[in-house]
Order: sequence, then structure tokens, then C-alpha cells
Amino acid sequence: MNPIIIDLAPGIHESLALYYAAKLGLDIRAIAVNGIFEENVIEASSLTAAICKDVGIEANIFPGAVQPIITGENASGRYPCAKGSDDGVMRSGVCAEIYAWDAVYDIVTQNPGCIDYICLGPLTNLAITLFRYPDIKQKISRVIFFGGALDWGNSGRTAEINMAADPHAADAVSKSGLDIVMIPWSVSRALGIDEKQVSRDYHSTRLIDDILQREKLPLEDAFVINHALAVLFAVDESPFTLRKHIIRIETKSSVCMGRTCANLMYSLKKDPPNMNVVRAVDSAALINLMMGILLHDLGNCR
Amino acid sequence: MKKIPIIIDCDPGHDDAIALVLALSDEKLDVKAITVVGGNQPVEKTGQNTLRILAILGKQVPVAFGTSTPLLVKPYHAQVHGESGLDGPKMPEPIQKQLDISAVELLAKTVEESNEPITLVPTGTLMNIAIFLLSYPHLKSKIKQISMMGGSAVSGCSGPGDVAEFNVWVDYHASHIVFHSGIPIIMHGYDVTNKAVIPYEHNEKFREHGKVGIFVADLLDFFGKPFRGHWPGTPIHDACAIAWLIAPEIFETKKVHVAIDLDGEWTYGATVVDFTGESGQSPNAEVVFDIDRDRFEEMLHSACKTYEEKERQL
Repeated sequence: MNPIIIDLAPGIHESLALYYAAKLGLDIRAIAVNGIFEENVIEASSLTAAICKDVGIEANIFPGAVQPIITGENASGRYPCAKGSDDGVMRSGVCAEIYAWDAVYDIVTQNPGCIDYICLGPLTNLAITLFRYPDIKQKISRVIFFGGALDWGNSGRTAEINMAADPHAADAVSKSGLDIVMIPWSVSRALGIDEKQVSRDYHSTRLIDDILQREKLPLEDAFVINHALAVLFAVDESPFTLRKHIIRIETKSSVCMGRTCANLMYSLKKDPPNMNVVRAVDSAALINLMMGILLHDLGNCR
Repeated sequence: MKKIPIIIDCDPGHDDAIALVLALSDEKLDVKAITVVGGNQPVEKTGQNTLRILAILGKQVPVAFGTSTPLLVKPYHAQVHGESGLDGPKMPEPIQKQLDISAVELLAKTVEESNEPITLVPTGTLMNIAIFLLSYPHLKSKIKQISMMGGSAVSGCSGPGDVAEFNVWVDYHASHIVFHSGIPIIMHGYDVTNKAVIPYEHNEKFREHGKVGIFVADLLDFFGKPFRGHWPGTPIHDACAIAWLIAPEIFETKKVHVAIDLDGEWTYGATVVDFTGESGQSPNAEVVFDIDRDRFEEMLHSACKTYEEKERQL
């Protein structure tokens, strides 16, 4: 398994993703924080540090973008953020003086061809890294991002929130030539893992339990795995069915801004694919993977 | 039995041809007129194809030719139907001629003269229908519904981003006009029509049903070629819009709002379906998502048998 950089905008599902990343023992070299859902990227970084401490991740955290590279849907306040868990104190581990893209470039350059870049939020930081350091394309092993939708969206009618929040960044990354794996929100939504399949032991860390209690999320919402899928994919690809597609990001439409355009049917065209897209997940295999981690963790807690 | 009065607006096209086979065989439908539009090929070709299909079926229906030119953009024609628009089967010379009026005029005349509301069945681009609706707004109330082949809720394979469907995409402004007309729309998009397939190994069965059966088998053989290796059978897109009128019980639908993307780079011409009610707009279409494929194939066989019986009686 390659060492990884995680790029996120802190929230509930990102917390769960970090939890799995910690329990799976991923080699996390850095966490880049995207602040475009927040008013302050430093606060978002501090919150990320709090989450990392809670789940047991020791990695430097680098603040990144504060706004989309051109324009995007203002999703502030619409996102189920874990803000309330932070007490406003600057946490150790936040490298406030170094931008995420500079840190990412340094780390990738020191480990050429080895780093998997897992992006759980909008692709703003990665796009800026590509603009600032074009040679990084040859040095990143691959990009695994959670986002996009193949049927309908959760931000507007057709777009997923990470794409809608910064469609031009997503467009830039999609055209970069990087080895990209897209894990669409629509696939996560279709997984349909419910209470019967995953016990309440899911809430086995204080932070996650706190967040779920505070947000009063319906239990079934808590079991939409979403962003953690990207982390689980990095560890074990076997439950995931991939297909190569050409994905185009809509950046001009007034009704489809941020839509991840894909041909799911037959194609009579010969355009080369630009991404591997997760089209299905073997939920039983995935639950086995998740439950193994959870039960192990629970045993340790007890 | 009270028949459903319909006008078919088509651009044959192999699947248009099968739609006509189905429509003109069924006793539930009263095909008042056929108007022809450019799309799969220019209207000069699709028009002649229509007249030749009628010759094979032994039917005479008022036919008028319409336009090949989208309202605001350049024409685009499909490749999959061949140079003639109906390559494959050996086609006879037409028996009847087209009327000396335009498609829009025939639409207006037929609707106006009808004692009951008419169902429009566009199986091609929506140019004729849009011009008709713009030109004769007072006749909208005499349109019962539009059962159309076109659009796609989830994914397409036309347009630059492969999220649109050909008929809606070619003249997306016309499509916008139709979807905003207020007339109830039943949208048979790729979501359902790509399930309305005839498996390749079933083609030969149609040859058992006389002259029209052989015609259908020839259509399937040619039209299926590009799909082999990519899809489980030949999709008979256009016949869905007719089959729904005959046997709506074999389809599954959902009422939603459908907008046409007018300004996207990759998404223009896509039918943007509001699955979650996010737009706050009332449903303007009934989108068809599923079909009982076996029943659909049975309907096509049954249609061919109807012609075969009449053939024997002659």
C-alpha cells in the first residue's frame, strides 16, 4: 500500500474516513485542508487536527484553498460539518505557515511515484498544486477522489457537492492526465447499508459518537459511508468494480454546473478514457472489511 | 373499441420503421397522419423512407414532409442508419405521395378537424412539433399528450458530453419549447429504450412472419450491427412511444420535472431530470424507466403476424 496524502474539508463523513484511515494503519504523510466550505481555513485545519487526535492520526495538517478557483456553488452551511466539536483552540499539527500545495509538492517530490492522493472534498487544492507545480503529474502515483454522480446529484439536479463547489478545479484535474479513480456519491448512496447490516458499534469513538448525537442524524444517514469509501478503496480494491470512462466536468451550464458527464451506455465514439470509475461495490465484502476493523477496535476499547 | 387518435412525427430510421409497423397494425390506434422531420437523415430521405415503409405495410395515411433545419443551430444527422437513413432492407418504390402541404400544416389541419384531443407521437427530432406549437398556440388545448421517444434521465450517448439523447439534442431549442408547452409529456428516453432490445439471436424469428416480418428482421440485422459487442441486443427506441399507448401496463414511469440544458459545454441538449424535487418545479413529464422486454417483443411479433394474416387474405 502506498503512503497517502488526504485532502478534505472537515465534516462528519470525512471524520469517518479518517477513523478508517487510522484503524487501517494507512501511512498518512499529510492532510491538506480545503476551506471553501468554511469561513476560515485555519479553523477548518484546527478542526481537522482535533478529529485526527480523536481517531489517532499523527500527521501534519496544511491549510489550503479558501475559495473555488473560479466559481462554485456556495455550499457553506449546507454541509454537515463537524464544527461543533472544536473548541476554537489551535491544535498542534496544524502547519499554518505552509500552504497545502507547497507541502503536497514537497512530499510527492521526496517520494516520486509512491504517493496516493486521496481527495475527499472539492478538488481545489489539487488543481492549484497542478497549476503551481505542473511536473507533479509525473510524480503522483494516483488520485482517488470521492465525488461526482452518475445519475442525480445532491447539489442541484445533477451535480454532487464536491464537484459543484469547485467545478473548474474538477475540470482541471480531470484533464490532467493523472491516474485517477473516481468514487461517485451515487455509488455510495446505492450501497444501502442499513442498521441491520452494521451495528451501532460503528459509534465506537467518542468524536464520531458525539457528532452523530449532536447532529441528530437519522441512523440510516450515519451509515451512508460516502467518503470513507475512498480510504477503504486505497486499502482493498477487491470489493469495488471499476470501469474506464471519459468523465467531463460541466462548467458552463446554468442547470448542470459541476455535473460529471459519463456515458454509461454504448459508445460509438473512440474518445480515450480519463478515469477509472467505481461503478459498483460488493456490499457484503465491504461490510466484512468494515466490521473487521470495527470489531477489532471495539475489542481494544473494551 | 374506441381508438386513440394519433399523429406520428418521425424520421425513419430503422426504429422509426418498426414503430410504424407497430402503430399501423394495432386496432387500438387510429393513425390520423404521419409528419416527417429531418434527423436521422435530411427530410428528403426520411420522407421517401416513410412512403416506402407504407408501401411495404400496404397502408395509406396522409403524409407531409417538414423541416430538416433546427431552429437555431446547424443540422446534424445520425450515422447508424446508413446513407439512406434506412440501409439494409430492400425497399419498394412508394405507392402514395406526400401531401402538398407542410408537416406543420398537416399537424394543424388534423388537430383542428379532430373531434377529440389528439396524441402526438414524435419519434424524431422535435422541430416540426415545436414550430407547430409556436405557430398554432390555440391548438395546444386539443393535444391530449405527447408520447415521445427522446431524452435520457441518467446517461446518454449523444452530444459532446455523452449525456444527451439524439432526438432532443439535435434541436435542443425545439425540445425546450416542447417540454415547456404545458402539454403532458411521456418521455421514452434511453433509460427505457435501451432496455427495449431484441437480442441478436432473436432476429431470425421475425422472418417467420411473412413480408413484414422479413422487413423487420432486415431492419434489426442492419441497425443491430454497431451495437453488437456493446449491448445485449438491438434497441428499438422509437417503438416504445407507440407501445406505451397500446400497453402502458408494461412500462414503469415516474412523474418529474424535466428541463432542457441550453447553455452547457458538455451538457447542452440534455434532459435534466429533477429526481429529488430540488428545483421546486412541478412535474411536466412522465419519464419512463422500465419495460417488460418480453411483452414488448411479443407485441412486435404480434404486429408482424397481423400483416401476415392480411397478406394471406389477399
